[in-house]
Amino acid sequence: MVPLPDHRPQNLSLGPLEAEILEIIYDLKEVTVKDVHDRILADPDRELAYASVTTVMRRLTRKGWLDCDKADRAFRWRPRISREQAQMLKSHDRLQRFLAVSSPDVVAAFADSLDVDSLDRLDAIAQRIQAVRRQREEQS
Amino acid sequence: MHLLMILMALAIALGLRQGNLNRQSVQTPSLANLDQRWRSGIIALVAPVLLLLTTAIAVLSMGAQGQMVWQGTGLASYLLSWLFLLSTLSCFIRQSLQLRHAVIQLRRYPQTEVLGHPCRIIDDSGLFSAQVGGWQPQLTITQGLLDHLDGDRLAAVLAHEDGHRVYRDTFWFFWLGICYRLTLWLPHSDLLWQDLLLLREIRADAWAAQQVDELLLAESLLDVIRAPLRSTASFEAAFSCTAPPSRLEQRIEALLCGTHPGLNFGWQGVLQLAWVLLPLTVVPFHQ
Repeated sequence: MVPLPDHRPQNLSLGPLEAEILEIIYDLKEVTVKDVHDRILADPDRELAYASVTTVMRRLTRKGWLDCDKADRAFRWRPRISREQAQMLKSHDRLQRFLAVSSPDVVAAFADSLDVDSLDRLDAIAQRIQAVRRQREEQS
Repeated sequence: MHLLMILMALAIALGLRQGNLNRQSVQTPSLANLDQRWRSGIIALVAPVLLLLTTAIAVLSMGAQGQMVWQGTGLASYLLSWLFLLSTLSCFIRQSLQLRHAVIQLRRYPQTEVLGHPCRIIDDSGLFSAQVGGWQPQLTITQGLLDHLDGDRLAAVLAHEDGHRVYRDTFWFFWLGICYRLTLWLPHSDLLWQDLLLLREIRADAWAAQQVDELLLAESLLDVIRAPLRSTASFEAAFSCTAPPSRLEQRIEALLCGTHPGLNFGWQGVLQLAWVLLPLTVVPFHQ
């Protein structure tokens, strides 16, 4: 199971071209705009302006998906979170949205926000359970 | 006359909430008499709605016979009755749509079997498990919970969820939830609702404790609550440091004390609710 990343893009929803370009960047690990543009134009049926690729990659950077470094007079772009972490974040986001609109009437959870307690109380409860377990072990 | 009937129904509903609910018993909860607490809680939540519904139906059916409907108080009672009926209908439709939305959302997740229980797995690292739906709810578990708990603790959690399924909690609480939302303007609605939700969990815990070690279940519950991933936005709760024991403390206490309430509403409860039909009895005598 992939842990949730510390960094989280501001906007998890992506347009089709954004998603396609992000996939290319995941494949190549680190890219220039030219790398991405060449990869898309490798398909003879495709047409896409160089400037459009630049615009999309800047937008992905603004949304928090990419990091951009300037080295040797060329901008190089890297993903800020891995493909797996992105997948995890999307699932997590879906679950949170689902829980946000679900009421306890039709969602009978094992433990929900109503069961969350202060740390002091949680410690007290843990000690109580441990005491019962110790008592049980002594008796057996 | 009809307006008087409505005012009487409102007064009875208010009186029922104020008088029939011993606030002390909710604010300083004890594990004694859970069955009584369950039954009186349901009655205090449901009876005002049923009484207002039967009164509205009675007023409308009498008004429909052409008696002074379009004059003063007659018109007011007629409009009030329609208002309540339409509120009830819109609340029912809204909750039904929400239920349908939840079930449709779940269908996107793969169905599989865990320890012999058919369930849907959500590919998420958070710790969550629930029965979701109505009469036939679906068990829903996150991958995070499967990874986090060992076999015995997972079995304890699944036994708890099985309790919700056996008691059809999602179905009954769908209706109780409608009553709760329709009576938010009456006193103690929130207290009653929260208390019934807690009793529902205590009952499911008790069901699980018949099949698994209750200490293991208590530890699983604490483990899931304490997991760091629970501090996500939707699980943030306002912590109160007031004197009464928290919901979690009550659940753990009930487990450790071996409290096994069946919490049966039963025919006794239904009979205690029968008086809400009284407004309908005046319809045949209406001239």
